[in-house]
Amino acid sequence: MDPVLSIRDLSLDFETPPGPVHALRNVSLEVPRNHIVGIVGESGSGKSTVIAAAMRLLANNAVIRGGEVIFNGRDVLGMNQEELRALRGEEISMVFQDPMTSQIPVLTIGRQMTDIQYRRRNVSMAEKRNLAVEMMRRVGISDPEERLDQHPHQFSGGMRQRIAIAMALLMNPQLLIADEPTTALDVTMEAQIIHLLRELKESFEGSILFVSHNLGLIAELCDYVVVMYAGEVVEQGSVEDLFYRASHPYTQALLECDPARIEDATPALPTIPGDVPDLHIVPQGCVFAPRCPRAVARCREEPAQIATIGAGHRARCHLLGHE
Amino acid sequence: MLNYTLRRLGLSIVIVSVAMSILFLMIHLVPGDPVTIALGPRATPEMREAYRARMGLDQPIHIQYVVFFANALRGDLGQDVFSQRAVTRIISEQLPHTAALVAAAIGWSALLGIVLGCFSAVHRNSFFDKFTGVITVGAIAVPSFVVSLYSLLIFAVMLKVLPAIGAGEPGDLVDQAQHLILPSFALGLGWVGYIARLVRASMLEVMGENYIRSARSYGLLERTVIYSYALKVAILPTVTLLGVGIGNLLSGALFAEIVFARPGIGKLIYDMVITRNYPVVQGAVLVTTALFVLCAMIADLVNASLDPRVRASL
Ligand SMILES: Nc1ncnc2c1ncn2[C@@H]1O[C@H](COP(=O)(O)OP(=O)(O)OP(=O)(O)O)[C@@H](O)[C@H]1O
Ligand code: SF4
Ligand SMILES: [Mg+2]
Repeated sequence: MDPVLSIRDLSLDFETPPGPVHALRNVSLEVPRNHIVGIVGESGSGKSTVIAAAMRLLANNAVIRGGEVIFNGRDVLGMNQEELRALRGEEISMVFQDPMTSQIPVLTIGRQMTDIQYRRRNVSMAEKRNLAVEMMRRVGISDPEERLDQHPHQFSGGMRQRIAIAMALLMNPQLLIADEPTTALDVTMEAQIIHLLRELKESFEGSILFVSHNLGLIAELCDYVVVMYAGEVVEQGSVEDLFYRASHPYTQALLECDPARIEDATPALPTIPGDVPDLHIVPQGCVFAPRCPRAVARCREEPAQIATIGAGHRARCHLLGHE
Repeated sequence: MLNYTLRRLGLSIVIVSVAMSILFLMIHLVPGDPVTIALGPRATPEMREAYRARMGLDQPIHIQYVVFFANALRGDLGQDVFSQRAVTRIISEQLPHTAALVAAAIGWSALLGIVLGCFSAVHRNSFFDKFTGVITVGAIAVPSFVVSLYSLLIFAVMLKVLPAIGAGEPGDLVDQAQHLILPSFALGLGWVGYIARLVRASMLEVMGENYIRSARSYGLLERTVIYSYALKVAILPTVTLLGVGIGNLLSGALFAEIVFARPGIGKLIYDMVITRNYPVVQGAVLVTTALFVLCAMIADLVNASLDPRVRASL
């Protein structure tokens, strides 16, 4: 079956006063139907930018330089505002990082949840409310009938993230994108949200694209993993490929740094010596070369090509494949 | 909310009481004898004595203070020095004219200001936005008496399309409405500027909030996102501004009332200051202060009813 979302060779710049930031370069990834794909990478590696591009919710200064975003066989980058609106919420929806700011403070949760269903023209207000109640119950909010009449500030952070998930799932999208949905929560809440996402994956017919800093969460939740570094995808494959057969020196560094921390589900990625490069100037060779323990002379001169390691397992490194 | 309303009401009463005390002290403790102020320097000692007794000024100061409060509570603000008419009566004759003027001025300026501000924010940096930016700053900069004089000159004197003087025939609503047009235009113009600037700024801030991005991610219609969501939050500071603005204009309508020779509170205070009719001045200042406090209170209550976060923090 063809993937629900496929991003091919996507390159994107942010125009800034000092010059363009080359935030994404030739990014390709796929989200297969009914699976969970995780994107992992250090802060600034372009995770949020990729998913914003998938929904075309990009900042005003973003310029797409090339590539395509295909959702269900349709070209998202070529859509007009009307088509995008039909796509958002109904086919792809998003849960954001900070649950405390993602619902409008002056309207009740019930009102917001019925508003989202505005496209259900033949459904009465009472039925829309019932659907909202049911969705609230599914994400684990008790007394949903009463709580629908409350305003966002009357809920805790964990509950607000559950509500955000409920809102995102109201129109039964085929793809749910969650951008670090647990970063703002404490460890207990985080575990509950992850548990909820797993449960939902069983009951709702769709895929999840899950962005995280946290390798432990990725290992726990995902079927496939995409590792990003400095605006590029450096390695991707199944969870087993990535955790047992990591091929790219960056992925290996992430895993080797401190394997115990992965078990602990520590919120931060292990630290690798060196800094993420400045994306104003893209290096001539491999982007990871300045920090790579295995770099050779060639790495600084030629950009690394993508090598296929196994079925669906690819990495961008000179040491792999064609040697 | 009931609790808050009561507390807010209590606060308003305290503020008005303090204002009354200051007013009382200003009249009685500030250098200058109120009798001389009222009667002028050439009054005979007999006239002074009679006036003193009639106004209760021969009583000790703390008694006068208590009497002043007690009378005010009974709705007695004293008598006009010359006509002996009750001050409350005089004020209640003038107040409706000012109230109508202020309502008309704030009404049209709020409506236009909100529309302009909202539209400028939505079409940020467009020609329309830049153009309204210049116009609204201009509207703020021009003093309202200048607008009063010019609009009088253009529409009433040169074009002769609108009546200029007075408040219109009593009982004739159409005539009264026509007499409101020029003064409410002159008085409201600056407020269009203030309101448009404020709405634009808060709209831009709100449009950058995360919940607007989430609203878009649900595929909501742009008009829902802007008018049902963003504007509902962005309007809150404007409600507060309007409360203060209405209170302010109740006494600030003075210039428009003088230029257009309209009856009203501002005109009343002005006339009574000139004739040193201090009980009327005192009463009118008191009433406008109380109305100012009332407007600010209503604005706060409206704000609380619109913003659940404010309600929760009460
Ligand atoms: N609007 C913008 N203008 C300029 N640069 C931007 C903009 N948005 C993002 N960037 C830059 O693009 C790069 C990728 O940012 P992005 O937010 O996608 O990273 P991320 O992987 O999501 O990081 P984090 O884990 O911190 O959320 C960063 O270098 C960032 O500074
Ligand atoms: S191409 Fe060279 S520098 Fe880049 S990851 Fe591979 S070995 Fe390291
Ligand atoms: Mg991010």
